[in-house]
Amino acid sequence: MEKIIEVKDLLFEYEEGLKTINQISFCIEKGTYTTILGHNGSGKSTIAKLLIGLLGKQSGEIWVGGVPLNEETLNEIRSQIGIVFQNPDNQFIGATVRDDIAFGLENMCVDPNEMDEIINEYATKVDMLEFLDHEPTKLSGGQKQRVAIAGILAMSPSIIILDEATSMLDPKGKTEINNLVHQLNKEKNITILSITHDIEEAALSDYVILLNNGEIIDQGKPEKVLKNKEQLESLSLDVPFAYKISEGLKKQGIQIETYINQEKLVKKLCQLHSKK
Amino acid sequence: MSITFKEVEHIYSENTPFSYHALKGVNLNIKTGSMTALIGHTGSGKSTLIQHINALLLPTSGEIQIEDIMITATNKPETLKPLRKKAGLVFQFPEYQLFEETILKDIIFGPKNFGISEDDARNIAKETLNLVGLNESYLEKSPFDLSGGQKRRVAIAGILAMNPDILILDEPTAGLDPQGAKEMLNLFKRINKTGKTVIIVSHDMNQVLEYCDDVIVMRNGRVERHETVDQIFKETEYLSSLSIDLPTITSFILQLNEQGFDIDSSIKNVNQLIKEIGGQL
Repeated sequence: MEKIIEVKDLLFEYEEGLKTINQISFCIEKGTYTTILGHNGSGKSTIAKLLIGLLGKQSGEIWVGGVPLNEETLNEIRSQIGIVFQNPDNQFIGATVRDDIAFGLENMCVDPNEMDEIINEYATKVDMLEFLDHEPTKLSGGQKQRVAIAGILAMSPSIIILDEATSMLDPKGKTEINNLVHQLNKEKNITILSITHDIEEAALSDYVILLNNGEIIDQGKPEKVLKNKEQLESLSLDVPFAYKISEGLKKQGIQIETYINQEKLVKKLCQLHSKK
Repeated sequence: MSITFKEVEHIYSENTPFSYHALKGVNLNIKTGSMTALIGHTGSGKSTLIQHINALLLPTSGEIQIEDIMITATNKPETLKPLRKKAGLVFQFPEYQLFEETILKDIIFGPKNFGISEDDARNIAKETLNLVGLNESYLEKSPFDLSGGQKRRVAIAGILAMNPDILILDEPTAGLDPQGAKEMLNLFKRINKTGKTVIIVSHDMNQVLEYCDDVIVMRNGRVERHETVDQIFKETEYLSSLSIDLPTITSFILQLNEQGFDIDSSIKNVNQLIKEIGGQL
């Protein structure tokens, strides 16, 4: 597998001596869906800002697509990464949805004759074609986030970072965005890095990085990281619902492995039930 | 203190091209001492509704009765001052409303406006700060040096300091991590247990199931349902027509029942559910 992001011994301090990010190292493979989990104030969002060079690191190395991040490569690297923030209102520039998607394209000096086609393509992808002439501020939360994502997709990034992108949305908006992101990951092979405290979202990802006080406490496949109950609870995080149920059943003497995925657990329980 | 709405209508910017009919024929009776969830989509009228309870908005027509205070379209603002003390409204992201140099000053701002002496207000500040889980050492600190969750507690303490009988909260746990959200909801439950009426706007059905007694559902400016939590989550088709997800535990039980299990779908507690599943295997 090809490594698309590599971080080595990354150190960042907002104030001297106060290590917001303390010597962390991790790798993200191309085309995977990675979640960074941690409570409020654990340093999650700071990592996102360091990866796109919005903040400058004190020491350590960041490579994106094999290119080391520094002042000369900043623009090249930013063209590969799209970031969606928690509150889409902070991200709108255009007076209409169309203008907003066009903004990124104009910065990339795309030929104006080709722009309409690109805008239509990505507005269709996020199911917002009929809203192209609407004012972004008057859309619902889920619609706004979809427009923000369309603006990013139009610039064809190879990586999308979601910084608690669904935490302000109602359940419907949340589901819409989660489905869209999974689809982009599978169909377009876009690498996803999602910063969240939603344990159920992490359970559905390929790789989990657990962060506390700027340090990586654990990382690996969700099946490994999310089964450590004491560790999750000590970080103010919840345990996956499927874990609670399967562990509880074990204690009752039922022969079942530990699950973190609800769908798989339901399947297993139904098997056991029908064999009875 | 019960809250009654009778045929309440609210039209924003009436008789202008921007006129918007936000509440339509709302009738409600919220019981004293209950903990009620207010659910519905963005734009369904939830925020408009709660702002009528402390008369930040007056109805275009109809009437709202809160104990001995009647709110109608023609109320004069000064007659409503006692109401502001009875009903405390906490907006979304209340931490954005902190403004004083110290936490003490921020908390006593409200009580002082209602004519309470500086000394008494100081004692009240201590008590309410304890209530939200922070100790006295915080009184002289700047609210801006706190973490997000702590700031929100201070902002809520500022409302609690006025000792309202009704506490209304607009998505109080948005943006908090699971532990922070749990602590916040336990705080509201404690306040509710002291006999106060609590109304929470929420999108999180797991919270509604675990903490609330009753649910009000709004759609397009109307109150469509007002019933117990147990009742509402039985109406799966209705909820899905509103794109409202069931609580995790309820939807899990329904999935199992579809495949041959027979489990009571009103179970709220994980341990009880485990026992039930175990018994059927």
